[in-house]
Amino acid sequence: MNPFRCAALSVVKHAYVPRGVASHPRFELVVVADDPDQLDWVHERNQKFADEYDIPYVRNVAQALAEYDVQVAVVSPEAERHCDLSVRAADAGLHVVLDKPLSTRLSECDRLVEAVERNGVKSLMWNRNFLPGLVHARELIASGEIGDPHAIHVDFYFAKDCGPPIGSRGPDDAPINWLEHQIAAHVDGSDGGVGHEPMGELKIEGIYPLAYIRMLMQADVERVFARTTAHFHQVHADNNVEDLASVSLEMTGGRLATLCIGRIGVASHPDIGEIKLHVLGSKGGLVISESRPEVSIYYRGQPPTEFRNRRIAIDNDWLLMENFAHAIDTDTETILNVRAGREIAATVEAALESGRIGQPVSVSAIPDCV
Amino acid sequence: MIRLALIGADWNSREFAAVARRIRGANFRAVCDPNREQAASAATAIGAELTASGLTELLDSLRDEFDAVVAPWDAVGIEDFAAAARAGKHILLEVAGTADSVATDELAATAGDSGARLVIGRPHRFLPSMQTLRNSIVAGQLGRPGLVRVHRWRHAEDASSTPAAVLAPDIDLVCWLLDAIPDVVFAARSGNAESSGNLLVHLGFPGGGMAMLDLSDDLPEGDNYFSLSVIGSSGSAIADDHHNQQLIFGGGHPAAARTDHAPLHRLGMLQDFVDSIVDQRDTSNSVESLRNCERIVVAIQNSRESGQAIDPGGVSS
Repeated sequence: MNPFRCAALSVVKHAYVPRGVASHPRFELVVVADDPDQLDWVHERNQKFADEYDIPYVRNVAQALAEYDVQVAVVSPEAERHCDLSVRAADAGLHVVLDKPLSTRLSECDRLVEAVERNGVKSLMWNRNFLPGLVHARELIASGEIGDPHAIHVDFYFAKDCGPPIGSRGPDDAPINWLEHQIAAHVDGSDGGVGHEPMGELKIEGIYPLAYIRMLMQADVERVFARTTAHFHQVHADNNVEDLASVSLEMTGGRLATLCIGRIGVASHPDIGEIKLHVLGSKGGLVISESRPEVSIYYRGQPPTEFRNRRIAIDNDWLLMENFAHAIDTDTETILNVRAGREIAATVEAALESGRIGQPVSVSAIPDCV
Repeated sequence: MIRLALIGADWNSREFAAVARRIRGANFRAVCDPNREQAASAATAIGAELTASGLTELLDSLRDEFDAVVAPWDAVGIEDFAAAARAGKHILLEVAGTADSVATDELAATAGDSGARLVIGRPHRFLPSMQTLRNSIVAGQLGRPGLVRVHRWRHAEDASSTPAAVLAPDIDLVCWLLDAIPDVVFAARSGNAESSGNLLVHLGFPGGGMAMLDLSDDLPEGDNYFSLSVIGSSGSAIADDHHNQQLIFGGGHPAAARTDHAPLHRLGMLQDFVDSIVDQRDTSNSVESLRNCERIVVAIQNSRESGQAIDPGGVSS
């Protein structure tokens, strides 16, 4: 069976998505492409990735799609361009793998859902639902171990720093520019929010825990109450976006979920962060550490920022792409398609609105015309 | 040496017995209980020499034999406590959850008039885990606390309390750790209508602080589960039963069990009370914390019924 030929449409953020795609033998990266009018730093990153994989970089998306006989687009530009590049790929008949977040605008999400469904292509939002702890949780729930799940509580704290701490800006200092900060943060991989529009932690990382909730509860979010604040980092305060949030989610079927999410800083956790799931069912409960299984490594001279506990047996990338290949082969849906991604984006929008007004907010449904 | 009188023989006397000899500057002198046999047994356990059938008898016949009363807030009528206060007896009133704040307010005033001290005992604050957490906050190690998360899961034992009242000690913990009172409360329930309590409480505090608490009464019979985490601006602290489990292998999947420790929270609460008398200092366990807790519990119920976020400052306790 010939592998699916894949085009990486912009690789300006983490390269983990195209790398993850390439980890599966049924997917082969054959070209990197982007629009010619992009800024130099965008072209530089695209070129660097193309060089690493020894594939061409074409500064013309339509040309690359036409000339390289690709079936899959792997889309990882700045957040604002996710949907537009994906719509163009879907309209060209390509299946689409997208980096998060889906978009910074719900209208763009709707446009993408419409394009993907109209063209009958498959879509996959990159997610962590196949980490061993999540797979285990899903198996335990499916086997009826805790009965019917009616509540889930997720902690999702990333122990990453994000520039100077809050309160450190002097009276004569200019506010930190979001995009410049994100471009600089590429060095240590903490540039998940790269884009022109500032994004808080809910928009940048919220899809991961919200995808856990969606997968394990098999329910839609109807209403949201949230508290949001900039608590840790000056860049968030300067750009009026949150780096700490708590969200209550009322779901279909009387189910409840909560999410505590924050970019808590390197000093606040010995590993990548406290990421834990608490699930309550009619017959019992589950407490699942997302990071386990792991192995602890301690040694003299260990850099303070090196994780003491290392995750093991992580098959998430391969399993995501196996799921994607299966969806293409059998014309079924992926574990997190763009319609689900749009619902998560709407949940995030509702949470941010709730944080602003201090009252619960209903989650906006996908328009009927989509 | 301050001489303590314990009101209620079956009230945690085993825990008091485990720590009675470790109190600095005080000892137990008497035990009151309508059941004389139980009173005598408890007295032996905690090293007290005297017994009485109740606080009234103690005041009538042994008034000069004790200096302070240790009791749960509903052990006797508030008038009996008031009589003890008028007699100049200091009072440690243990309130794990909520209590009538108006009555305790009046009691505090009565005690103040006679130079006695009323201390509201919050035993949960003295748990070793919570003391460690609190000390790290006070030492500034966590920076500004921004979020407290509490999970309390249990097997339903007492369906007579409302879920919000069951969560009251945890609400007190949250306010104590954040050193603030919430200005917004949102609550919701999950599960079926028959379940006694699956409650979610979401609190917002002035300045951006927040807390989430969830209660479940749906665990099967067996151990409970508790977890509390604090996210600060420069650090975090996590006290989680999940982390503190030992494994027991007996075939099949191993069982997990917590390693218990001595009831040091009882000692801490008693010592804090005794020290506050000796040093003539205020404690943080004030009647005001009761009033705030009461308001929050009412706001939780209002929020559940209305589906809206509620300002607890606007509800009357």
